[in-house]
Amino acid sequence: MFKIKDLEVSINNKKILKKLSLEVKPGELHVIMGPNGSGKSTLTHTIAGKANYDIDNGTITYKNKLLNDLDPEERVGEGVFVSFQYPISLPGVNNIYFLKEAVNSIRKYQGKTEVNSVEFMKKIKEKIKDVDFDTSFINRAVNEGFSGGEKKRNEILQLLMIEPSVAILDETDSGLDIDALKTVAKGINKYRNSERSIILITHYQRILDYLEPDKIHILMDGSIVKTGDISLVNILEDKGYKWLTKDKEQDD
Amino acid sequence: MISEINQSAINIFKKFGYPTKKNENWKYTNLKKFQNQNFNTSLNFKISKPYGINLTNSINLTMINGKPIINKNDNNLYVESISDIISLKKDKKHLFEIKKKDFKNPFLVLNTANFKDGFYIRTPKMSKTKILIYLLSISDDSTDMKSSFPRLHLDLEEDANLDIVHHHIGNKKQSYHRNNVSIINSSKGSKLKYYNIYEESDRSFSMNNLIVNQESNSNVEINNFFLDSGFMRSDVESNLNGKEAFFSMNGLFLGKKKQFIDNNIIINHNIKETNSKVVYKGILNDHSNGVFNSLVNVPQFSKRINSDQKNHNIVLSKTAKINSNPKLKISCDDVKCSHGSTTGNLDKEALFYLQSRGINNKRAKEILLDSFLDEITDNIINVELKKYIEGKISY
Repeated sequence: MFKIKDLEVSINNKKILKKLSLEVKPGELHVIMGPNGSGKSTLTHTIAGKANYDIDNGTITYKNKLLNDLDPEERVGEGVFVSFQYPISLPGVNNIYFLKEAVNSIRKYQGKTEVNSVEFMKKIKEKIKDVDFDTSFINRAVNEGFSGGEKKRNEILQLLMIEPSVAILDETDSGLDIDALKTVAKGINKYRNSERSIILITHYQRILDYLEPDKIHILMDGSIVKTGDISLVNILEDKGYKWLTKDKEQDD
Repeated sequence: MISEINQSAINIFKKFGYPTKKNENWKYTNLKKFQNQNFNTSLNFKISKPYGINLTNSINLTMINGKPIINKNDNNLYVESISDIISLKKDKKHLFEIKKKDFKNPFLVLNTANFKDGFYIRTPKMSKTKILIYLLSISDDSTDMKSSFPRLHLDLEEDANLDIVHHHIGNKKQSYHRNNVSIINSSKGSKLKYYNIYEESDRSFSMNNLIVNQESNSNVEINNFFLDSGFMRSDVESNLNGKEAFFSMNGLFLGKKKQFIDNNIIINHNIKETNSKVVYKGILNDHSNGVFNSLVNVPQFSKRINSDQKNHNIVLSKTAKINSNPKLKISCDDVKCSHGSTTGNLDKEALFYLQSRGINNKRAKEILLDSFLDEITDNIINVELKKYIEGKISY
């Protein structure tokens, strides 16, 4: 089980995440929604282990292993993969070479033998169909000259090649046209199985039409203020996040 | 006599001496440390261990501490020792004498004052067969503090097509001084691809002069790889003397420890409708120090010039340093000249992205730096050579 407990994170001495807790069981898909500046991207970067995202308090664990102090490559080696809102481009680094390095580095970390070129090519040819790429994409430099939608599909391709146990997808649906959105949703569904956990961070309910989330969490001001099922999304669509601040005030 | 050429250069050096930092071409270079050394000319012409690369179908030539080892001549090539040329062919003597324009080029003068021999290579006339030469130049002696003065004269006849790999390699355990001069004359329509590979010891003082003179429609491409250096000075002078002559040069320099790599380039577009292109990339780590100082010179009446000079550097440590100074001196209208320089650290966001995909920090750095250098290493057409050089690149 992937578990975040009482997580507190500061950036430049400003507290962004405040006692955030979350548990995702194998097979579950959780959705985190929240207004701008609520701490969504801080959460993903902290889980990925980016420098300067220091954990003041709390724990991030997967299968009871503490991830707090692991390097980024060790976290994905442990099975926790993060897809970023703005995937970076790597001029001069060939996509297929990059993917092979990634897959084999992770296998090495996990004590598995490296995949040979034939097996690897077979797998990638299969997976690029799932994200509607033609072979030219895998021979180009990583994300270089890719459109926004192509970058997001490339993230899903990485997800399908790396096959982690936990996937945190940060706004993988943002800026997509309807066809690209369907492709991304198809990729997520291909990835999903009873052993794997997904946390999807999003602003829009659109993509949820194609997925079957188990839980919806609302992140506001650095902590999760409400958790519910898909019906919560409809209330949000209707009333916006202000409804929750009022709700909270009344509770107080 | 070679001693006459030596003596006249000694007299020139006595008059002009070493440059100071006031000289524009030496403003980033401190020669004090070198001047305090006491080197003696090496008289050793045997090597202590094998050096070099095996390239398929190459004509192999070796110089040990400046002395050429002459085997039989290849049919496609005329190879002679410079000492023989000077003693047998009086009309060629002028080729080795210092020109007035070079009086203030101290290490060209000092090589001419001290050299005893070298290679003179000429391609035969009307031969369009492509030739590959592997020239291994070794600095190796039984004791420290030896100097050598290797010299190469290369004459390409009309329409010749030559690839040459000039491998400058030294005994890694020794402190030595190497003062190399290479002079290339590229006739009408000739084509040359020239690789300089430097693998010097940390304690070496390696001073290198390369002069390229080109006639019309000739195409010279230089690829310089500074893989290991101690104190490294490289002076390149290109003279474009005929219409549609094209000079291009790519450089890669890797600085580590306390290495100093000092690149100085002058390109003279002496005539209209000539073209040049320079791309140098440097990666500097530890306490290393790099220089990129280049000048494109376009005199009056040299119209319709195309020229581009670029230098990009990545600095990997807080204590490494680079001075980059690409310059243009244009005294003419109707020219197209560009120049640019960038220096930065390794992209932290890119590094993090690679790490987040399971690739460890060390490997991620290698991937990013390799891709940075691809623009230079992609010019190596010979597969065996490319493999060798890429194998020697480490950060």
